[in-house]
Formats: sequence, C-alpha cells, structure tokens
Amino acid sequence: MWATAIIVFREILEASLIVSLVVAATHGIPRRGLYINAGIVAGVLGAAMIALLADPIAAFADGMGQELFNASILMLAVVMLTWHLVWMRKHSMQIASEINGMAQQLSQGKKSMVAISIIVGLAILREGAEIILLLYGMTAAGADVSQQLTGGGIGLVAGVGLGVTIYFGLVKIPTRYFFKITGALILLLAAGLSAQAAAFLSQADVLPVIVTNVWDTSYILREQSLPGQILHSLIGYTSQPSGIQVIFYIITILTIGILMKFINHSPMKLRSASLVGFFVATLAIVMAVVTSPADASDKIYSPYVEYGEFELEYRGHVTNDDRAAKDNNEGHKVEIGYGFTEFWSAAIIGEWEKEPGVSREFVATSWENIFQLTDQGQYWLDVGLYLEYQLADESNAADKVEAKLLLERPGTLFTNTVNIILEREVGSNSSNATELEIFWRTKYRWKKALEPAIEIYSKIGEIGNSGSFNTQNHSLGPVMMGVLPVGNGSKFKYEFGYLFGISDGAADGKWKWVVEWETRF
Amino acid sequence: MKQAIISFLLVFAATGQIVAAEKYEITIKNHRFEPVELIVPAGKKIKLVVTNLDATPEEFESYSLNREKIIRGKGSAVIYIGPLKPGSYKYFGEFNEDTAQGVIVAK
Repeated sequence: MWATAIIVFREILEASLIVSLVVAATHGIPRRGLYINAGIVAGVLGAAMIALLADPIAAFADGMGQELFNASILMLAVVMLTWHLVWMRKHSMQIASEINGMAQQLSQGKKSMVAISIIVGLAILREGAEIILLLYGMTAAGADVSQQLTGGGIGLVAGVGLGVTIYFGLVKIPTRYFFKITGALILLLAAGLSAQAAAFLSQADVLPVIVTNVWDTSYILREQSLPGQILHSLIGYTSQPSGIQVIFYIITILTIGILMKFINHSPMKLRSASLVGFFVATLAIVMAVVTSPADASDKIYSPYVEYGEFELEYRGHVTNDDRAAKDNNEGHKVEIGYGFTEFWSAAIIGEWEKEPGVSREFVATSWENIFQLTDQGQYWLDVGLYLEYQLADESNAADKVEAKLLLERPGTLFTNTVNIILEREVGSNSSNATELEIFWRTKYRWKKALEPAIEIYSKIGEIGNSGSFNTQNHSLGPVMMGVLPVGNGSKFKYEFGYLFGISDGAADGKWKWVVEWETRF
Repeated sequence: MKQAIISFLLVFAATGQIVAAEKYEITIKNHRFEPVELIVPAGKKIKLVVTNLDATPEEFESYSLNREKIIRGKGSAVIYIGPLKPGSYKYFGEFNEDTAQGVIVAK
C-alpha cells in the first residue's frame, strides 16, 4: 500500500505543481475556474484513454511510440506555455497603460485560457496514464485491490495537497512582482519540459545525447529527494543532464525571451536583444559541449533572411573517382529552419555520411544562423553573416565552428554570390588549424523556375599551411536551379549540378542536389 | 505541394538507414534486473533491450543516464543510451525500487 502511495505521490506531484503554477499565474482572470476544471476533466478522461491504448502506442514507431508520444505531449505543453507567456506580457502592459478596452482584453483572455486549459489537461493526461497503468498492472498481478486504491488515494491527496500549498504561496506574492515572478517560473517550467522532451527523443535515438552527463550535482541535491523532485517539476532541475537537454533548455528560454521582447519593443531593441541572446547561447553551448566529420554537402548561401518563413531542406552529394578512397562517397543533410526576425534565421541540421568501407551513418548535428546585415539593394553589395556550430556525433571526433561572410550582387541578367568561409575545430580531439574556403556562383536569371549557374568551390585548407594547389580541394561545374510556387504562399526550390574536380585533392566528379520546401506562418 | 511532400518522405526514408547501434539485453525477473552489472563499451551508442518476465509493469529509470521507460508486464522495450564516458551508471525499477537495482558500466 505504502509503495503504491509513494509512486502515485511522485507522479501526481509533477502534474499538481504544473497545474498550481499556471492556475496561480492566471489569478484574477474572470471565469478561469471553468477553463481549469475543463482541463482537469479532459486530462483525466485522456489519461484513461491513453492507458487503454498503451500497448498500441508503445508498439508504434518500432517500439519508440512511448518516447515520441511523451515528447510530443511535452512540446505541445511548451508551445502552449509560450503562447500564454507572450499573451500575459501584452496583457500586463495593457493593464498598466489602460489603453485597450476591457472587452478586447476579455476576448484575448479567453484564448489564453484555452491554452491554460490544454496545459492542465496535458499535465494530468501524461502522469495520470502512468498511474492507471501502474495500478492496473499491480491488481492484474494479484495485489489487493482495496489496498492499492487506498495507497493511490493517499498518494493523490498528498500530491494535490502539496500543489495547493504551493498555489497559496504563489498568490501571496505582492501584485507588483506577481507577473514577473510567475512569468519567470513559467518560463523555467517550459524550459524544463522541453529538456524532458529532449531526453525522450534521445532515448528513442532521434536526437544525439551529445554528452551523457554535462555535470553532476547529485551530491548537492539528489533528484530523488522531495526538494529535488519539486525543483525537477517546477524548473526542470536535473542532477546529471545530457548535452541535448542543456541545449533544449537554453534554446527554449532564448526563443520565448525573444518572442516576449518582440511583442512590445521596437525593432532596434529587438535586434540588440536577440544578438545578445544569440551570443549567450553560443557561449553556453560551446561551454556545455565536449565532442567532426569530414567533407560535407556544400551549398552557396545568399545573405537574405525571410521573416516568418519555415523551411524544410534536404541536400546531398555523391562522388565518383577512379581512386577508391574518393569514389562513391555520400553526404546528406536534412535541415529545419525558421526566420525568427527580419534579420535572423536559424536552423538545425542533421548530417549523414557514407565513406568507403563504412555504412551510412549519422555524423553531426549543427546549429546554423544567418544574419542579414544590410537591406536588399541598400548598398552596391548585399551582406550577411553565417555562423554555425557543429556537434560531432562520435566522441572521437571534434566539433566545428564555421563563420561565413555572405556577399551577393544582384544584377538584371546575372547574380553573383560569394561565400568566404572560415572553419575551426573546437573542444576535444580538435586540430589547431583554421581553414579557409571560398565559394563563388554566377547565376543567369533566365526564368524563375529555371536559372542556369556556374559554381566554383575552392577549399584552400589550413591558413599558413595550405600546401600546393593540387593537394587542395578545388572543383567547379554547372548547376541548374529554380523556384516553383506550390500554392498557399509555399515554395519549392531546387538545385541540381555536377562539379568537376580541378585539383587532385578533389574527387573527379561530384553530383550535388538541394530540394527545399518553404512556407510562412 | 504533394510532390514536394512525397520527395521529402522518400529522402527521409533513404537517409534514415543509420548504422545500427550495438545491442545489449537486460531481463527483469521477480522485480530484479539480470545481469545486475552490465558491461558496455564506452564512446558508443548502445541499444538496450529490456525484457520484463514479470506480470507487473516496471519503469526503467536512471538519473545518470536520463532515461525513463515503462516496460509492461510480459513485455519488452528498447532504450537507446550513450555514447557513454567510462564510468558506472546506476538505474532502477521505479515500481519496485527496493529490489530492482542495476548498474551499467562503460569501459
């Protein structure tokens, strides 16, 4: 009985803390009880349904259904919390300025309360399903039903009791600090849930862990202890987090932070705020990660950022050569990106490679950023900056930092694009070399869907130790590219070409292709 | 539009064949893990197959590995771990913590 009570308490605690926090944060919003109760009822019903469907869910996606399901639930909760935070930010400003009418506030409040309802529902659904499975399993195995139910009841009451206590603590916060404190807590809650989702995705082998334990604070605060559990539920405290969890935590805070700023600050302030955020994140990730892959599927970048544009891209290459070591090598990159502001877009890239004698394998995860530094046509030359951090998947390979200066001169007949690239390995196993590459493309603007181009790739190699031209990697060739509209403001882009090796360091020939789907929302 | 989606799916399917992680097995019997100490290579991704021979469900949980997964009674589950640094990583069965204790040693 007591064993069951403790387990149920632990599961309930997590849901109960999330519920208390969001309920406290909506203190003073009319008719919120209705939405919260609806969330609780939907959560309980959902939990029962998930418990019934546990087997098919678990069997889904080669046995990784449980992880994918949990990760989706958690990420959905993160999105809802983000929405709530962004709305609250606006709302508290309105209260302060009293510009907008009450009616508008209420209608907006309704939307935000639906988000709260969903968060409450999801928290209960996830934890509730586990409790039902546990109790069902125990009784199916012959444990006494009334004992189990009593234990479950004690756990439930204790868990909810602790949540209620925390709630009354929170609503006692003076009004002046109230939005600030609850807002900060919800931000950390969202970051914690996102880190939990990252753990599930690496457990399912969808994401790499990067580093198994970035730090270990279990000797200060054990995660199993009651304070440890409370902090875990509230702010995502993890005594031995993996690299991917730390990255998700930081990216979530930054993303929400930038969105909140965006809602009520001028573009200039937004620009400086997100630049600061970006550098903090880069620094944190460089510090958090200790872990390089070889030649990649290259692409020439234009210096432009499209605000609000979501892109899904796949690019790859395959080589041919009469030397076995350079023949039939493949590279593949899958990229998901978004234009967060008018001048900054970011993307996450997964990279696969196949080298002679080795099967195709996942080699790296990269974080790519493009900053548009000048407006299109503002000066004679359009300028952008590209910064990338590449995390090697294997522990005996080194990470890489890449900086590219993106230059483009659009003309009426021809557009010229140049990328000047500096690349350096960092962390363990890194060589001390900074490598230089220069890419050039001249494109003939024939038709939007059909633009022939010549691309030149010059990989000069280590600065100060680049060797002769023949040991370097130089190639050039024709590329066909274009953009096709596919309705609803979505676009399909393609590039397809063949590069001839013009130095011995390059493969004799290389097919390369890019397909990209872009949409806005 | 449709073509774009189809081409992406094809591409994902083609690139999805990642090199297989090394497989290791753990069984749960009478609320105990077997083997209690599992030795795995460090620096490699491991595919852990946990088979539950008991009728009751168990939750494989580890703070040092950041893993948690429910394994239903008479069922089995796959958990990916690593690449691990050399060292030992404790795990336990959350539903029967008194007896269900184990450790994974990366060498």
